Amino acid sequence: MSDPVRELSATLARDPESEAFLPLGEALRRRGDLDAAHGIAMRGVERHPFSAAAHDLLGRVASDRGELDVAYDAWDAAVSLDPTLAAARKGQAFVRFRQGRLAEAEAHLREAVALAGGSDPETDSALARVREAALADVMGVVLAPVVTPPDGVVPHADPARLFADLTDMDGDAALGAGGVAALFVDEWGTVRAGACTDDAGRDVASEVGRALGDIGGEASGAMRHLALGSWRTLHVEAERSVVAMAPVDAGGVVLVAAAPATPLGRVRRLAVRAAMRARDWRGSPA
Amino acid sequence: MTAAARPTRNPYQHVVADIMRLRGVQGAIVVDAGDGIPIASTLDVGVDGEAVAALAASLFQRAAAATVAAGYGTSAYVQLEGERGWLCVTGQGGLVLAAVAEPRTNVALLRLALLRAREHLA
Repeated sequence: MSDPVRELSATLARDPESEAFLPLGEALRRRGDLDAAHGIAMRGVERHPFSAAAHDLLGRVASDRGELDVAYDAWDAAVSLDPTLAAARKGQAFVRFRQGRLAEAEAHLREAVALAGGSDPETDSALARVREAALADVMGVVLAPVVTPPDGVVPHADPARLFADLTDMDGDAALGAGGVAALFVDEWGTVRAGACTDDAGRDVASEVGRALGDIGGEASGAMRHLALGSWRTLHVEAERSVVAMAPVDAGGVVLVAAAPATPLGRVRRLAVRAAMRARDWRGSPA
Repeated sequence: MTAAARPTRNPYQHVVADIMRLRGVQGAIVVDAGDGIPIASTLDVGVDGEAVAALAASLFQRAAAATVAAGYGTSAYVQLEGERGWLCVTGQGGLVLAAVAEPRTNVALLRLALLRAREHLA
C-alpha cells in the first residue's frame, strides 16, 4: 500500500508552491508527528499567507501541541481571511472552552451555527454543552468536559468495542481476571471509546480515564522542555497494573492497562496499535 | 587532636554513577520528590539537570497520584519515550531517581538498573 505522507512529500518537493502542504500537514498531524506537521504548517503559512486553510491547519497543529494561544491566533487569522470558515470558528470555541472562557466559546459556536445555517447537529450539541458548563460554573458544579473538538469525534456503532479485537485475548476487560483494558480518552478527559471493568465487573472506564488521561499533557510538556521531541509512549508500572499510553491527537491519549504479569512489550505495542486505531476512528468520515 | 573537617560524601553519588555506566545514558539524577531539587547528579554536557530534576519529579508524582486514583496502587516506575530519547524515572521514600538516555539505549537494561538502584533510595 502506498504511503500518502511519502507521496505528498514528494509532490511538495517537486512543487513547493503547491497546496500539497495542506493534506501533508494534516496527515502528519493525524499520525501524531506534531513536530513535522508544525514545520509543514509554518512553511505553508509563510508561502501562502492569504490562505485561510493554511492558517486553519496551523491552528489544528498548534492545538494538538497544546499551544492554545498560538492556535487561537491562527484560527483568528483564518476567520479574517475567510469569515465563512466554520471549522476555524469551532476551533476558536474549542480553545476558549479549554481556557475556561465560556462566554467567548459560546459566541464562537453561535457564529459557527449561523454559518452552518443552524443545521449542524455537532455544533448545536457543542453549544448546548458550553451553556451547561457555563451554568454549572455559575452554580459551582463540576461537569465532565464536553465540547466536541474542531475536527470532531464521529459517532461509532459501539465505541466501547473499538479495541475489542486488540484486547479481548481472553474475552475480558477486567484486570484482575488477567484481561487487558484499552481506553481512548480525549483532550477533555472524556472516555470516547474502549472499556474497562474492575474485578467485580463494574464499569470503571470513566474513573480510570479521568485519573490517567491527562498524564499525556505532563508527558508532552516534559519532552518539550527536555528537547526530546514529541512523546511516543509512556508506561507506568504500578502495584496492580501496568499502564501504557500513546498519543492520539489534540491532547487525546489511548491508555492500555494490564495485569502486572503482562509482558511490558505487549502492553506498549497494544497502546501504539490502539492509538493508531483511535486516530483513524476519530478522523474517519461520519 | 581535633579531627579535620572533611567534605561530607554524598550518599547517592554512587547510585547515579552506576546508572551512568550504561551505554547511551546522558544523565542520571536523584531528586527530592517534594520540591524537585537535585540531590546528586551526573550529567553529560548539554543536559539541563535542573529541568530534568523538576520534570522527572513532577511526572513521577503525577503518575503516582493517577495510578492510586485509578485503583492501580502506587507507581514504581515511569518510562517516557520521545522521538529523541528516553526519560525513565523511579522513586521511593520521598526521592526520585531519573535517567535521560539516547533513543538507541537498551531501555530494558536501564529499567532494571533503575529498579535495582531504587532499593538504595530509601
